[in-house]
Amino acid sequence: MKRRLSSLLILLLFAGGCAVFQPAERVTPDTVAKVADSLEAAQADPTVAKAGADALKTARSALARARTLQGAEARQALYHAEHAIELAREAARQARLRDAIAQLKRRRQDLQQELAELREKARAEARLQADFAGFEQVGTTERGIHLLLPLPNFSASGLRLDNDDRQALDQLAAWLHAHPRRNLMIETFTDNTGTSDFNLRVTSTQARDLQSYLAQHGVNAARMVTRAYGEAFPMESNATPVGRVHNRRAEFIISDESGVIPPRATPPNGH
Amino acid sequence: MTPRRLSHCWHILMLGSALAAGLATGGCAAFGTKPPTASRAAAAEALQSAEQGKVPAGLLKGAQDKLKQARALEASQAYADADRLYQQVAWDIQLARARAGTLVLQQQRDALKTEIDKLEKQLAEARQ
Repeated sequence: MKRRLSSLLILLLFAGGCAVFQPAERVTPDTVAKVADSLEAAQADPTVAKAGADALKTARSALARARTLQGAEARQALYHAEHAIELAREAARQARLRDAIAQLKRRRQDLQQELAELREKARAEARLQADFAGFEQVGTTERGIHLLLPLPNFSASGLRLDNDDRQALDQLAAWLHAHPRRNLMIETFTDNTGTSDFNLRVTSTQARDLQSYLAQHGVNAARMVTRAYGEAFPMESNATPVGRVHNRRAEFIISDESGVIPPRATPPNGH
Repeated sequence: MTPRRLSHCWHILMLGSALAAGLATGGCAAFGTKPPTASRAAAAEALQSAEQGKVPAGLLKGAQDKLKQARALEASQAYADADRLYQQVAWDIQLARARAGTLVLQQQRDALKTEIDKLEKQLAEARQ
């Protein structure tokens, strides 16, 4: 009897000894299920699945290990699984950021290019303004470089140029001399005073005179074409004296390097 | 020695052995049997490398604390617990490094956004 009691006591002590050092915290099925859910959610995210493939593999392996272990070892395996899942999520965050950065870099490049083009255009415009300072208007259109020279002094007998006009035409001649591949179209316009035929004749004379002046100043006549439009294409209303003055003008279109100048659209009155 | 005394001695011996075995079994489970040299070295090396690799100190604080805790456990000969903690330190540092990488990318993205805002303003001005 005593021996049995002693044996029982021994067993109790043995078990007690073990119990004293067993970890108090146990891994519950709920804890494992929670990590499994987290892993499933991570795997369901295509970016996490792709970018964090290696980490997810580690997580699956650690979770499987946690299911077979107990106590501290199981907890450690769960910790490893959770850690690996978080690592996979981090890899996905980085993948998304890299995509965003790549997009932003492309956007930056587009903007830089657009800005550079705009600045170059502005510089070119500024150069043109300086090169053709004697003209009333200087700009660039789809047809080419566009210059406007007012011809307010109406004369049926021929073109009357003042010093400012000559200075402007001299600038144009010099510029064309420096750019031998560019061609010139001379367009002349007047107001609606007088008949249409008369106005056409006047503008034809003006165009021819302008061409002659430039030819005399070194521009090959073969590079120039003239278009007389009479009273067509008014810039302003012919109902006022100021408007009529503004409509009496010459416009010069300089081609690009191809030498081609697109024609002006057909005027509404057929001229 | 009488048979009765002999019996007492035998019981005492058995009790002692059982207690020792119990302590040893439980103790081994908690404390391990030998110092966790490899995991300690791996954790320390990972931390040092992360510190030198410009991982922000804030991201390493937890791992540093855990490393101290692991060293204390090792000093008290709780080797198995220390080993597990050292392993966790290495994992934590791995995650801290990844997070540091994410932070760098976030900074790059934010810097690009700022640059693009500036370019858009310059473009708006240039278009006027």
